[in-house]
Amino acid sequence: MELSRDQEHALETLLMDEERGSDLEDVASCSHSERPSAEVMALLLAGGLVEMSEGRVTLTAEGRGRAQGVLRRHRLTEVLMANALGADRKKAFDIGCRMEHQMLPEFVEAFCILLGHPATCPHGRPIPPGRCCVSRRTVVESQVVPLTALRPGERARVLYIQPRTHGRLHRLTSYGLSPGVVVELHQRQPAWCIRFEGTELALAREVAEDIHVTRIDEP
Amino acid sequence: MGPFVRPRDQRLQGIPPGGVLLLGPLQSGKTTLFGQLCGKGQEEILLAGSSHTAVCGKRASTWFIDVPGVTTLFAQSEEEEVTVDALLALRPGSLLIVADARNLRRSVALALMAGQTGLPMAMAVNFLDEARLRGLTIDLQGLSRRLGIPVAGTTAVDREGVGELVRALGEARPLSHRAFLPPDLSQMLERMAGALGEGSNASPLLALLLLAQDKLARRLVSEEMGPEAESEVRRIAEEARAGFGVPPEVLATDLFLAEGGAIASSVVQRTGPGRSWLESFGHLAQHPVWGVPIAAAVILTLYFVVGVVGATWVVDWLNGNVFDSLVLPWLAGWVSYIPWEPARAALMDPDFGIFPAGVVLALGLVLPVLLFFYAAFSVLQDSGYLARLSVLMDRLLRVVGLNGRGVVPLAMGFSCVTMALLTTRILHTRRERIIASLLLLMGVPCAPLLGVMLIVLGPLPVSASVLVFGWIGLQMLLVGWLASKLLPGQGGDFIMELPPMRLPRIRQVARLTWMQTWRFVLEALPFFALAALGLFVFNRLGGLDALQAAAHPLVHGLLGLPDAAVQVFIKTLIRREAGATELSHLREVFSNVQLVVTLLVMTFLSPCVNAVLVLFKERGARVAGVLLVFVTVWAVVAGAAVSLLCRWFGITFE
Repeated sequence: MELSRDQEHALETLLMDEERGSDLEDVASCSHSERPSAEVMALLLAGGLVEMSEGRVTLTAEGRGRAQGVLRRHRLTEVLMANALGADRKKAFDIGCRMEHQMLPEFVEAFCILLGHPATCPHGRPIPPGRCCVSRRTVVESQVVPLTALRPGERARVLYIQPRTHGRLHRLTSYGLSPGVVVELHQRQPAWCIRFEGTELALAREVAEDIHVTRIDEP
Repeated sequence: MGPFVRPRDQRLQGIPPGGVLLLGPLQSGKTTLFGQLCGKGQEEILLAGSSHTAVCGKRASTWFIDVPGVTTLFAQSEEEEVTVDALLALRPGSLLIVADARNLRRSVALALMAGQTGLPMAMAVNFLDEARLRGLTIDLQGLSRRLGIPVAGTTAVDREGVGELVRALGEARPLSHRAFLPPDLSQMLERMAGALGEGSNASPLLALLLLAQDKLARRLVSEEMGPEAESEVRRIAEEARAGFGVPPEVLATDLFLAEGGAIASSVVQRTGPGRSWLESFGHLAQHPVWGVPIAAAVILTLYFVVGVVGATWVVDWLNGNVFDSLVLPWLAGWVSYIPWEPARAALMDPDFGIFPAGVVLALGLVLPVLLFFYAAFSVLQDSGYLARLSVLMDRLLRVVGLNGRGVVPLAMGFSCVTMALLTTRILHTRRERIIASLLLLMGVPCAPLLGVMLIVLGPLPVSASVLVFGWIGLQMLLVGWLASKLLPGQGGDFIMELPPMRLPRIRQVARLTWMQTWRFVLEALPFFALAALGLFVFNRLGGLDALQAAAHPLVHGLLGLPDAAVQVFIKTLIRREAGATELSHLREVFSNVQLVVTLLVMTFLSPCVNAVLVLFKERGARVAGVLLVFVTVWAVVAGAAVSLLCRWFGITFE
């Protein structure tokens, strides 16, 4: 389920509320001023991301995961802006509000590694950790790789196809393989076998090399 | 109403307006569905190779028009232009969107864009069975509700859902779903629509294409509304594009795709277990290690079913219990009433008579083997195994300058070389097609020939079969490798779609088997009869003796064969399997080594008349001529080599 900007905002706000808990200290500069509308809440409820209990709206497990993702992107951006680039905290917050919706999830990890796995945002609030933080990875792998760099079972999103012949591009797109499509690699020998949506294709190495993808982290 | 604008494309002229235009992405099975809709009563105005030009056919009183597959209506290639031309200038009465159930997103995006014409539409969701096998469930009613048009699920190859689709077409409606357009784009579109006024072709789609500076759309405006209107819309487009960061066509394509994706994900559900055992088997079958024993097992099973059960048990039973004991004596009884001796002999002569050497051989010997072969081959095709074999064989076929795709024509060659030569079209480059044709002509025995070869080899020691097939395989590798080194050009890409593995469906297998066997009966039976008659006359006139004497040095000296081999080779040139049947007929006068050499020469020798005709048609006179001469010379040289080697080493196969 693709979430709209408003829906992501709503989830994030719920998580922030929870985080503050009974601690009533209101840090206006690090939370959203507007409250989510009823319509947005209804959509989240229908999508199974939040639930109503005893008149209170709470996050479901899935909703919490999504909310943590948004908050993580938000606070990582704040760290970049305030700590690394020297922007003031208010400005960092505003930029974070925009970037949290726009940053491609597959690049978050590289971003976090480059910043050195920060644990807190400039306002001192915790940043939900990612897998890279747990394993303390320090080397950023190139995020855009040819399909041939994938291991069987890995999933990746097609970013672009740079064919050596026009016919090749035409044939690949005719099967519906185009930028934005998420593929899963099944086998590398004797040919590269990928599956996307309901289609399975076998490709020669030269063809697979022309398809540039970015790995998708398992949620 | 403006004047009727002739479509720009010559090929589209002559199709009446008001028909049903089939629109769909490539590989959505559109052309197959078109065939099912128009059936045999198809009145093709334009005969053209499958999906590269528009084809038109009729069902009841409705015209259907099949145009090249597209994913967007912003035409980039010549084929896409044909489609847009048909949509704009042909004035179809309604649209049939052929969606691909396995890839619904791009199909729905196309439907959303085509919906901008305001024409009544219906949708066929094709490949429903494959989607189901992949664990995708599609809520057709939900899709129909979202789009506001009737939707029918189809599986065109199996003729499923066609009746339902015709009913849906009767209820075709304009798309009710309104795609969201950002304000600046819709403002521009309104301006463009204002300039178009109430023209007969005015539609949001036309406005959109004009914004994208589509040349067909511009030509339409110029022809229908005059050059002034054309320069006006050109001005608006230029102005609009100048104030826009992203070209409007790119923006619109993204919007339609995003919207299509949202609709598709709301109606498609992934269900079922992640992996069925069939799917796991499919993966094993294309695995570089496990695939090999599986392929070996499949080929051995094929050999057992066709070679042992079909070519030995069934043929023996048929000949012993039906033809020799019932049919031939019965026919002889009737023939004996004919008062003229030559006519009686022409019909019943045991060596050259039309009945014993023609009809009975075709029906009693070749037909049963074929039936078994076609059934087994259809099982491989229908189950999806053949595509896995392509993946496995990719590396090996690269040695001979082909790639995995070559498995399909080559495997088809074991069924019928003529059909296989036609199938070489699926190969992407001319070079690959020539190599595949060469290998087919030279080394691949077609099912009837293979069947008779198995009958002849059956009583011989296994070493004889090993030598014959091993030698053929080796020659193919050698010649293919040489050809790949000598022929200029590049190899094609290996891009191959893998259909889901499934248990072969009895109905489909029966249908395929029946179709192919029946074609053999229709095509080959007259050839068998004529070949027998021709040889009979030739023999009576003394031609056979003369030819045998003339060919004696070559046949006896070089190849070491008895003179009777000449009549086997003559029949081989008429139809390969006719020669092989002749050989099994005359086997008494051949020694085992001679049988082996004759079989090899026959396999390498020129193919049947049909295959030669198709070869000339597909490859052109020059290439076809070179291939035929090469293959014939090679046959004699290779046969002589084996014959000499066997004599040298004293191999007798006794």
